[in-house]
Amino acid sequence: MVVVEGPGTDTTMDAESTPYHEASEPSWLQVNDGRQPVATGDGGREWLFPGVDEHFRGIYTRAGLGYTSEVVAVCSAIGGEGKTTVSVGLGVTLAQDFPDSRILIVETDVTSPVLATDFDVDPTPGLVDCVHAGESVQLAYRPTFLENLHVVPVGGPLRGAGRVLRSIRMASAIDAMRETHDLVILDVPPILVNSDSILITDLADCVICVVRMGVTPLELVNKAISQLDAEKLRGVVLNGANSAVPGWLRGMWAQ
Amino acid sequence: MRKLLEAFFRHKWLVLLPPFVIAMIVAPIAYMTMPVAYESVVGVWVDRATYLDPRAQNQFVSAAQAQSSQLTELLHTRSFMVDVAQRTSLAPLLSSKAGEGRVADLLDKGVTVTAVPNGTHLLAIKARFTTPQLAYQVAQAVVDAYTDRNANQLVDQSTTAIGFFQSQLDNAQDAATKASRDLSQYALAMGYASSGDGAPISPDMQSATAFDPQFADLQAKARFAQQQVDQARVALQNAQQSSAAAAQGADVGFQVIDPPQMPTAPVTQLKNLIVYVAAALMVGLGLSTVVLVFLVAGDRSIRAETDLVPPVRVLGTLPMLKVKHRLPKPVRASATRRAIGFVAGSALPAPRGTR
Repeated sequence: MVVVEGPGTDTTMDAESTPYHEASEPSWLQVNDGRQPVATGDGGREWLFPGVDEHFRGIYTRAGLGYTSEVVAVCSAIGGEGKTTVSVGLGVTLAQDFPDSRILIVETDVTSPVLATDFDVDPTPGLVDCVHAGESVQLAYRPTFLENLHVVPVGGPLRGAGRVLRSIRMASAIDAMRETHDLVILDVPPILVNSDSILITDLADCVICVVRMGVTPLELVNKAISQLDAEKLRGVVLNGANSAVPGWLRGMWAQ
Repeated sequence: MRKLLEAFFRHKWLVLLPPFVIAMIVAPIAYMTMPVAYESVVGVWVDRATYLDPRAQNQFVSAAQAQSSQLTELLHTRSFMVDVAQRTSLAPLLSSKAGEGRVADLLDKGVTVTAVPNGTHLLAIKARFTTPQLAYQVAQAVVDAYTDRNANQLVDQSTTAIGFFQSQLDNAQDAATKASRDLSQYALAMGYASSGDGAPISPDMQSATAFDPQFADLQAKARFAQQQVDQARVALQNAQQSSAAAAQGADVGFQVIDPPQMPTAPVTQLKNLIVYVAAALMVGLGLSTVVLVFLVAGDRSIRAETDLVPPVRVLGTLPMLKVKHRLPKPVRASATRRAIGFVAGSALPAPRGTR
């Protein structure tokens, strides 16, 4: 199923439409089971939201990602806008579309770590643990079902994690990531909530800002964007588009 | 417009409910608090005044319509209102200025005069009041007051008309006598008649009109004068009849066909109830409009690419992704993200009953 946005198209996708129980990995409900996953590569799992990869494909194409080695920061004005969702989506799509490229998703939000839980991997040692201890950041790499995709949980909890992220070691850690992976996706904390995010985005080559439609006020979006380096900002991803207006009426309006 | 539609459909219950809720609250309250009303109806047969020349009357307005307007206007006059009230139990109220105002208000709202649809002579006088006695009294009082007033008016007017028609008749008779005399004298002089005392005219006289234009003219004048006399006599007789009828209290132009009855059951006030409900709906709609305006004005969130001011490059729009399976509460918030990361290894917990 391919989702094409436009008037008359319901922008809500339903995971139920996929026979997820018939996915290639029947044990997906107990992913990893506490062990490191075995990457399945091609012929692995199907998208639970069919067609959503096309949306991510459009985003990375417009952002110009995947063709050069770079570090991209995914940020937002406030929390809950879908930064991690976009980061994971972009990482998975890029890993599938560019099998020769190595993709790394790095979680940097110490206040709400989710990546380890989502992928059911060990939360420690994570990014801040390695940076704080001065160890190689590669210790925090976690493999996924996709051979060329790795995730780095933020780790912790650690006192003074903010200081760690602001330290010079953090820059070194990101440089180390550049060497091991072609594309590093930094999942950055909300800009207007956590001041660390500005420093982290400064370490990145480009920035993508995620905006939750129907939730984030325009003033906050403008305020967040104004704090970013305009030259690094590749653009905005509007997340959660969901019009309450019936499709037939939207179609009439579009005409 | 887009924002308006979006706000409406997003909060459709909030916008649509006020009219219905207010109407549903108002309807039973109005029904319970609405005073019980009793109605007494009088059916009246009306006609135009016979002493007036029909040609002088407006033929496009029926007698019922004319009388209806007249009676309605009369009800707004103080003298008639007092006359009616004095015949009912409202009379004590007339002692004060405020009471008089109250009576005027009651009569204004309680008494309606209408011409029966598709009819030209039938008039319905309805008196609607809170007690059956008052409704009956007022209906009767309106008819009585109007009849009395009409009778007095009719006597005055018909007396004037009698005088007028009498003088007209006298003049017409004089003219007829003169015309007849002139005709006779001329006929006698010309030998068309044997004598001037009204004796039968000779057969020659019939043919004389053919060759004597003066004789023909005199004959025509005599005939015309006689017609004037006849018309004046008919008008005088009508006026005299009206006068006599008015004097006896039997106005033929205002006859009560259905006299008022004491109402035994209250009338349904469905019309008033509908008016109240409609008003409540209108108020609710107004409230809905205000709510909608506030919703639109208060929504500062971004709902389309065009809402981004200043314009920023939009890399893409992700649709709202929902996992519809019943999931444990702790993972409900992360369900979409897990579903997207499923390809790489993240997973949703098993739906209920699949373990």
